[in-house]
Amino acid sequence: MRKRYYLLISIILVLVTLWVFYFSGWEQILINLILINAIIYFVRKPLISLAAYIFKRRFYRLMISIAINGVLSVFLLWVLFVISAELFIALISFMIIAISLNFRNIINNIASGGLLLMSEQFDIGDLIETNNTQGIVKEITLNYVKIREFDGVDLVLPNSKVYGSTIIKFTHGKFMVFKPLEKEEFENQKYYRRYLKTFNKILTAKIKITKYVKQMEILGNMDPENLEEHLFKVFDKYKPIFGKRPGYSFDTTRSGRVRINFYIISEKPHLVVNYIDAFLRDLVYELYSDEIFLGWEEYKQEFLQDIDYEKKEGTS
Amino acid sequence: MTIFRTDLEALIYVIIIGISLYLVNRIISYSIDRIKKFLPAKKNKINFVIRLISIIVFIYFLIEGFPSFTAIPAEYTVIVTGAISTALAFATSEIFSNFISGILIWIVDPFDIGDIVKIKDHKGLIKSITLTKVIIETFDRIIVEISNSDILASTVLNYTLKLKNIENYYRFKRQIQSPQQIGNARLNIDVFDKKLRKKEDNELRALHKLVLESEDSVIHTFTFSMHFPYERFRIKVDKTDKLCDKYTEIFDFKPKFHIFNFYSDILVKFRILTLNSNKLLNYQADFAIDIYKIILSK
Repeated sequence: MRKRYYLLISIILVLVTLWVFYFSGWEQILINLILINAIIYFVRKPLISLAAYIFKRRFYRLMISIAINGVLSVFLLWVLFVISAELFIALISFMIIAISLNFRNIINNIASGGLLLMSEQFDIGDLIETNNTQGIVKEITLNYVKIREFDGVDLVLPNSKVYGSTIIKFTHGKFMVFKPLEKEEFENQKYYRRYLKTFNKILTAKIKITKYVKQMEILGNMDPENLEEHLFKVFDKYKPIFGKRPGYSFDTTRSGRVRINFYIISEKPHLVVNYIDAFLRDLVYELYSDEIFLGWEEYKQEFLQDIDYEKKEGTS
Repeated sequence: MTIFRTDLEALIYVIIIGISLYLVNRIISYSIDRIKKFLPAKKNKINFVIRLISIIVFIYFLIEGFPSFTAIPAEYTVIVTGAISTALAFATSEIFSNFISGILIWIVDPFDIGDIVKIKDHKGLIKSITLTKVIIETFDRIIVEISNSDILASTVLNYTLKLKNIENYYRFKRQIQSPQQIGNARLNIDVFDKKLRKKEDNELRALHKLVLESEDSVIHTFTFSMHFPYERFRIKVDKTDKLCDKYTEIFDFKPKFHIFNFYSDILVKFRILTLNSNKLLNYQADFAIDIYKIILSK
């Protein structure tokens, strides 16, 4: 169907061009321009398909098709200018307003990119949440911000979306709480120096701390007396990995469950991302070991004799 | 140079022309309706074109017909036409917004054809990208067309990894591994560790070989989550692990899974890696069904 229309348009165009060329008696420049336009119109499609045949990359194809269409539109506007200058001016002013109204998107994007880079709201490698996604910032350019989510999937956000929205920063250089020095420690010059050094580091913003908050719900069948004991077991195991002991606080209870906020603190954001799921697994296995390993021993003896098992808990 | 001599004559003629155009429109659409040869879509198109032409003709007569319009000083006409064209530009600027967004998407370049993406809750495979819209084939085998301005307004998740320097195995491994694999978040922790690590390494090496053999160094990942109950979770983990072994041949690489949250039940996230995105479209649903069978089996 489309081909038929294309053929019809081409035939009409050829006839009009022939008429203009031989019988119209218009100005020479107008005749030439109409001829050029007709030729470009016919050459356009084969050229674009040729480009698609030669180049595999979308980038080159798009460039070539934009260039050809640009040339065609320049000549079309030229014809319009020769026919009627007023109409040409009117059309051009109309186009400028209509298009520039939308160009604010691109300009806005680049401007927010500049602001993001200058204001240093966050750096590459920080753990942030924006637009309902959490992840580590991989790239900040003039046009976009690339964030890697917790399961390793990349997310590309235009700068204008990031700059205009709420940013939750899990990584930051401020608000680091230090244990104050004891009096004996203060008198010892060694400790004093170390303290000064860390203090200096904070002032020059070399230390950044990542504090990630994970909200969890624990079922009501858990004995509140034993809960802390179980949690501390896991916390102690993860202290060497994160560098700092994870913490927790109770949030609220609802419908027989208790909601707990876990604070995972580390100096390196990627450690949090890498080990958070292992941490959760250990928590689940520790808290609900009765339910999870229900019937496991029998199953193991029945089906899994050929696999080596060892009673070993936790990561290595 | 006007068509009619006086304003009154012009007014009468314009009214006559307007009514007659309306009548002609009616007659043509009625007669087209009667002809059974045309398809409904074609009829609609013809009607639309005729209506558009008659509106243009009417406006032409309205502007050119009245002699008193020419008596208005040139400055006023310039101002009025300028204002009208600005208003029209404002009104129609939405049409151009898709093109401009298309250019912006082209600059930002968040995805390519064949990538697996999630845009506005539509997960699927990108079929084509044009200056005005992006076409996605979803996992339900439905074609979704999303306009470019809509894409800019929503977040785009790209599940496809574009690998660089794949000749080196260790660089390849660094790009492929998910944070959970690095952090050793596997669920069968009581299985002997060294043996398992060696097995995982061999799997990765096999995948590396496959990628080196394939033409373009692109790997599609896909993640989805399932809720597991607490009871007999360890047994279900083992069964799921065996299922993943079974799907290794189909997806080129063994699907991995890990806990990522828990409340009334345990949330487990599955991660599939494959070289061919069509495999995901074809087999992901089967995989999900098999997992469901394991979860709800006694």
